[in-house]
Amino acid sequence: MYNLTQRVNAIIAFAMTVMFGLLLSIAITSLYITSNPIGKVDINELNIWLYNYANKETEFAFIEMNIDADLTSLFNWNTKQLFIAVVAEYETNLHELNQVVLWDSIIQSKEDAHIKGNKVRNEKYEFVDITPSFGLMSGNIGTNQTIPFPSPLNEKAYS
Amino acid sequence: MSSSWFELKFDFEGQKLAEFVSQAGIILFAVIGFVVGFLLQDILLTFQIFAGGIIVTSILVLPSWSLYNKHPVQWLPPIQNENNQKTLEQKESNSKPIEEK
Repeated sequence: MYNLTQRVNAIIAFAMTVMFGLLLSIAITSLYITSNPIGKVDINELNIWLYNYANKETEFAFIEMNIDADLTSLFNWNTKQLFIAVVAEYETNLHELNQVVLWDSIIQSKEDAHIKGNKVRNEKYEFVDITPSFGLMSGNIGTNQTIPFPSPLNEKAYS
Repeated sequence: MSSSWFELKFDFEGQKLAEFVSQAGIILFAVIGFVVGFLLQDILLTFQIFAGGIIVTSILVLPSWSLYNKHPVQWLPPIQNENNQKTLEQKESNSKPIEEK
């Protein structure tokens, strides 16, 4: 504090320390901000096709779904972006819980956080039984519907 | 001493005051920024207020305001004794011949 350079040094060093405290308090309080995301996934269409995959007869599921999710409440002052995904869970003889991502998206602004997706189609995956749900870092939301697989449409071609 | 006009020195009381003003100012603006940013849910506003606070604190503390030089150090008056006089005379007498050459 004796001359100019010492005061500049003292102010910058102290401001740096306070800024780290500010960032820390923002990070800690952000954990306690509550949110109320709502989401719904409706399955319009579910078709199973049999294909030869790695010399093995394999079921592929083709899903068309409507997604309606209001995630605007997840955007607080410390939210940069959201990673969202529709996850299908199913059970096999070997494993109790299998999870496959059907659809995902990145939301970068509060204005885009109300998702309305009509006739969203998935990639190719093999299922035994599916349970679509909205998986989020802050917990699962939305419907947990269980849909039994219909018989493959091209069953005759393979039997 | 040629750069002393740039150093903007404070006296001891002024240094104490400047340290308090700078620390209190920066903390105050950080707290204001946090509260305002939280209430309006705008993190950019928090850091704008914080940056503004650093600038305001710098204006308050960096220049040599007269407030920080109200208690200049009072030096004791120089002691005049025989020894001092003698050394001064010696220096003068030593320097004289060199100048004459």
